[in-house]
This record gives sequence, structure tokens and C-alpha cells, in this order.
Amino acid sequence: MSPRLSVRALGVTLDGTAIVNDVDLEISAGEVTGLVGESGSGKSMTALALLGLLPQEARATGSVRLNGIELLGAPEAELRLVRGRRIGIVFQEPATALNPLMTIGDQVAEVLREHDRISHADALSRAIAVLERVGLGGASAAPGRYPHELSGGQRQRVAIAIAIAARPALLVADEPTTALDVTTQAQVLALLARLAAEDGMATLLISHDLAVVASTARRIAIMHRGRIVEQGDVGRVLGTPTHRYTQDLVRDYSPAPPLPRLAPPGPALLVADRVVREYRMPRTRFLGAAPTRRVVDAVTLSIAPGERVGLVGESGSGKSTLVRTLLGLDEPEAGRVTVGGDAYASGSHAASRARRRLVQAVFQDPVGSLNPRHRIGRIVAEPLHLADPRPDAAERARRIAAALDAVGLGSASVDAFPHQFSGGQRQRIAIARALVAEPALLILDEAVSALDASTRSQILELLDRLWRERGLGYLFVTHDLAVVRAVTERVLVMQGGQVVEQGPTDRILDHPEHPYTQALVAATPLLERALAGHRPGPRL
Amino acid sequence: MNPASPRASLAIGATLVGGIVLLALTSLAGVFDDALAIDVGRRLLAPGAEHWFGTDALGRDVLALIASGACTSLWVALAAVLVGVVVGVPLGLVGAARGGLPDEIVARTGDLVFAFPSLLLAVLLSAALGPGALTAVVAIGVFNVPVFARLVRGKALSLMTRDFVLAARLSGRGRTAIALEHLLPNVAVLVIVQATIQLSLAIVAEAGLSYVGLGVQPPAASWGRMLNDAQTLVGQAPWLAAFPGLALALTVLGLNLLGDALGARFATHRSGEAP
Repeated sequence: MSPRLSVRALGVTLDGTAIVNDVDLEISAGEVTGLVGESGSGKSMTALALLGLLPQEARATGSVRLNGIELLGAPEAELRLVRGRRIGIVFQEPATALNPLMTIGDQVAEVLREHDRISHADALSRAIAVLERVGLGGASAAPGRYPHELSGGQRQRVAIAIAIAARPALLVADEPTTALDVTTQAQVLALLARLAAEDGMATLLISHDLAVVASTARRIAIMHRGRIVEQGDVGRVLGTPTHRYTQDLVRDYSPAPPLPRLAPPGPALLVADRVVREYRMPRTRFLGAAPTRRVVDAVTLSIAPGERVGLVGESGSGKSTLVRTLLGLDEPEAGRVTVGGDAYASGSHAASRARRRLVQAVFQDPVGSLNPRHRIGRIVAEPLHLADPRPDAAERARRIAAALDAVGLGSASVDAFPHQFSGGQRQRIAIARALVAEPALLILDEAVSALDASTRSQILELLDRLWRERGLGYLFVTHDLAVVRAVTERVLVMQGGQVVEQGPTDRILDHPEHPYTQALVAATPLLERALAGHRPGPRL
Repeated sequence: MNPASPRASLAIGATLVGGIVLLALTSLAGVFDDALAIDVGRRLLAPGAEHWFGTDALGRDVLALIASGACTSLWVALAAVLVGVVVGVPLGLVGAARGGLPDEIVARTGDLVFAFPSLLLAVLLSAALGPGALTAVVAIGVFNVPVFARLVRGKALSLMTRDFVLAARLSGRGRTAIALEHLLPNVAVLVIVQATIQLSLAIVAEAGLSYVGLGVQPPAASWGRMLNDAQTLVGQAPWLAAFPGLALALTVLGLNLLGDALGARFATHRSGEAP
């Protein structure tokens, strides 16, 4: 059978620079092919070239054939017919892909009416059928609802419904689950695989996550610096990678488990004792108290010096609120947080600052966590305000240089601005800032989630080194169980503001007892498990 | 050059504003002093070689009056916007950084000022202080305060949730230090761009106040005053209304183009955060 989509020698140049080179790709009917690469590898540009949606400054060369019809160089009027009817598109962020002012039923119906001349009522009834196919049947997701009434996963289902409404020959899904929780991610991936099989739709699944692709696609193409360096059956490419880059990718994806701890834990450093956090909701009645919502519900935890602890849970489970409370940024409504036995604010000003110095944090977004108008030296030096006595200029410079050196950045970067650095480097700067105060515990709030696999593994190595050399303890707050397995020895699982299960990482992840933990573990795409489902293909 | 491009806006805006400033400076230097003298012998002359923009009912040169009016307009508007920036920016920062009651007071007071008719305030002020340039500065300045307070508060509130502010709080920095070192540098661009826009609005407001007689008083020249004087003579000497009107329009256009261009320029600079 001839392939649905056939890409030959596709190249894309942007302002004269080649960003995609010599891409060959074929997808058969009903087949899901994964396109994997790090940010900037050219995978999104490849997708845009297929869709004829390249930015104006970009030029595409080569050939893109859908059902034997050449798309490259086709007039815009023809391409408009192809997009939507022959090609469906799903993007990463469902919140921005939907029109907030239209009901979901109307949005799906609009696509149908665009391509077939049918009445509004007909289109709406067909739209309801399409919504049912993507799992949005029943009262909970009636077609009369608006996007803001839906969860992220439901919104992505609507986006998928819009993409497949006209029964396209090709579906391009660009990081469709990156913005979703793991359990939702598993459901959406299963949906994509089912739709591809049922409609005989060729599907291109673009992702930076090997396990996501491995659990959904049959074939995989690895992209690096604008070229496809290796492609073939998932089991073959990821099981026995031949290209150096693929080998690195697979190795970085499954970091080795941590070294066993060297010393038994001493007295607790950071303790949360039945901490409660509540948010005030909007008033429902004009007079009367505003209702409150309990976001963190009597959480108790304790971290010893040098201990590496994981805190997992989905978005909305109260992790971030708990972190702010553990850092002393917010006061708990009930319970207390202590460092070395005392609350942050208790005692003298100096004692309070000394406690604050012991617990520092690294945040998720490497862009938002550095002030864009400050130079690196000034950013890194900020926690020195906590130092007692205040260091003089020479000591300050020495400590800035030492912190930058510890994270593998030269002291030449002192005078640069954050925008001159990549995401991974910025996260190193954020870690240097946390280190300069010489803390005993680092709280990492999704600190590696926004990074590419190779950058993430470098940062994890750095943290491992700091643990070995300085005995620095960590609290890893994350939704990524692979990271938890790689770097922590103990883990707490949070759901609905409560810690539902805790214990040694190996035991919790291998033999979860609480149903929520079991669901979380089962939904997490694991490369080994995904590969076990692929029979080894023929060697090249 | 594409007319909509920021570079074109910058070039045209800077030329227009530069021209007006130059005119004002020439007037300040005393070049037009003779031409401003009352000389009924040369009253209502049409534009010509001697008097490019003609003369008014008192025989004063219209170009000289416009130059002198530019001076008035610019300093009243600058002073008024300065009042807005100097009072409004700190209020907005305090509101955002402190939250709670102080924030509520800043926000609600701003609403109150916005809801109050500006002309009524100007009338009240001139009743208290007497009409004049100072009255105009205070009246226009008061309405600029909540503009800047609101702008800065909005941006600063969103900055307060950024991780670098959390990191500063973890570093034991107080609210004042955060407001000055983290919030202020990040709202500065916004304030500069808004100030350019407010300057053009203030120039129009000054002309309006002078037109109704609440601004600068004769013999000081003002574009609004000139338009008022021209009102009865416009059929006979249309240049009396045309030239001050044109000066006003071009200045406002120039400042708006400049504001747009600065905004676009800094916006691209900022998106450079993530290359």
C-alpha cells in the first residue's frame, strides 16, 4: 500500500539559514509515527512545512505528498482546502487553541460546515457525534459548554474533535500532551492511537518525550539539528539505537538510580507539622463569610540534612502551595513549619535570617525566575543579604565566582544578562543563586520539568555532585516519576491537598498501595514498559 | 520604508516633536520678541513673505505666537505628566508590593478620580488658585496620577507572581527593596511609553483649559487661547484658527508615533529575553 504521507528531501531555510535538512518521512494509513527531538531541533518547523504554515521569511524545498498530491508550492487557496479537510492539527496548548466565546459544539460544527454545505442543525448533531467519539459524551461535557468550563484534558479532546471532524487523511499532533497531567496524558495518547486505527488516519506525533512516543507510535524518527538521524520501528530504534545521538537520548532518558545514602539521617532540618492552607473563594452571598477551600490539608513531613525527598502529585494537588509554605513565603492557617526546631519568623531578626538561609529554592521557569533587567552577578549575589556578617566587596565577588563555578558556569558570565543564556544555563544560574547562601536544603519546584532530556540529565548530575560534595539535601517537587526514581531515596505522594502515601522511592514506585499512586504509576509513560510492548524489529 | 513600521514611526514622530521643541526653544531665546509686540498697523495680515503664518487681530505674528504657545504647552504638559509619574508610580508600586488595605486605597482612590469630571476639578481649582498655568498643571497632573498608578500596579502585580520576586523574598529582601530593585526596572519602559502618550493628552488638555479661559492668562500665548481668539474671526482670517490647530494636531501625532515606536522597540527588546 502506498503511504498516505510521503515527504522527500524536505528542507526549510529561515532568512537564508537552513533549519531543516533533507527530511524523508513516510506515514501509512492508520499508523502513528513519532517525531522526537529537543527544542530547536526543527521538528515544529517540519510540521509547519507539512501544513504549509511556515512563517513568511521561511522557504521550503523538496516534496510533501498527501495521498499522492504535491502540497509544497501549491497555491494558498488549494492549501486551505487541504488543511482542515485533509490534514487535522492539534497543538500543545488547548487553552489557546479554542475560541473562548464559542460553545464547544459550535466550534466542532464550524469545521464541518466549512467543508460541507450542510445546515447548522445537521452540523451540530454531527458535531455531537464527533465529541462522543473523543470521549466527550454525556452531560458532563454537553456541546453547549464553553472551553473555560472544561478541564485541560477535556479541552485537548475538543481540539482533537475539531481536528478529526472532517475525517482528515493526516493528523499532526505537536506536543499534544505536554501541558497535561500524566493520567490525562495517558488517556489522550490512547485516544489518538484509537482514532488513527479507526479512521485509517496517518498520524504524526511530535514530542520531546521518548516514552510518550514509545507508548503510542509504531514508528519513530529522531531529529537532531534539523536532520533525521535515525528512523524505524520504535522497538528497533530505541531498543538498539545505532546513531550516537539516539544512544545519548535513550541513556539520558532513564537516569541511573541514586547512590545509596551514606549516613543515617540526623535530626530533622525542615519539619511541617499538620500544615493547613486555605484559599478564600469569592463570596456566594452579599453578606456572610466567604467560603474557603482547603488546598493543603494537615500535611506533616520532615526532612533530615542531606536527605533527598520527592514530592509528587498532579497540578492542583496543593504541591506548589505547600512549597510556598515550607519556604516561609506564606503563613499556614493552621499547623506550623519549623527549621531546626523553630518557626521562620521566631526569635531575633538575625536568627530568622539564619534559618531562611538554610532553605533555598529553585523554581520551574528558567525565564521567570531571573530578573531580566539584572546582571548575573547581581542575581546570584542576592541571597548574600542573608549572610551574617554582610560580606565585603572582595568576599562577595569570591562567593559569586565560587557559586557560578560550582554549577559549571565561568565567572565571565557575571556581567551578562539572563537573556544571553539558554534555558539549561539559566537553571544553573538559579541554582548558583540558591547555593551562594550556603543552604542545607534545596527545594526544587518542578525545576527540571521545562528542560530538554539531555539538559535535564546534566542538571540532575550537577545536583548529585552537590549532594556528594556538600551533603546538600533536596526536596524534589515534580509530576515526573522518572526524575523521582532517578534522584530521590524517599517519596511523598500528594492528592487533593493530603499526603496519601509515603515511603522509600523504590517501594512506592514498584509496589504502590494507595489507588491514586497506583493510577499515577500506571499512567506514567515508562520507556522500558513501552518498549516491552514493541517486538524487536529487523535490524538495519 | 513601510509607513506602519516602528522605524518610520520613530523617524516621523521624532521629527515632529523635535520641530516643536526647536520652535519652543527659539521662542525662549527671544528671537520672536519683536514679532510678539502689539502693532495694530499690521493687524490681520494674510500669510505672506513678511509674516509666514499671517498676523492676528492685534498685529502679532502668528508664527511667533505658535512658538510661544509651544513653550507654554510643552512645559505645562511636561510638569503635569511629571506630577503623574512622581506621585502615581510610587503609589502603584506600594499598592502592588504591600497588597491589602494600602492597595485597596490606591485602587479605589484612582477610580474616584477617574469618575470625577476633569473640567469641574479645573473650575474648582481655578476658583481656589485663580486661573493660570499652575492651575492647569495641577488639574491635569491630578488626572495623570491614577493613570500611572493603575498602569504600574497592574504590571507590578503580575511581576509579584514571577519567580524572581519569590527568589528575592527567599533572599530576605523587604518589600521596599523588591519594589525598587525588582519591580521598578521592569515597569520603567512601560512608564516611559505611557508618559509619551500622556504628554500628548496633556497638551490637548492644556489647550482645552486655555480655550475655556482656565489655563494661562494673557499676555502669555497658548494654542487654546489662540483658537478661542480666532473663533469670531475665522471667516475673515481662517489662518488664525488653522495654524494653531495644525500645531496642536502635529504635536499630538508626533508624540503618539513616538510612543508607539518606543513601545514596539522595547517590546522586541523584551521578547529578546528568550532568544
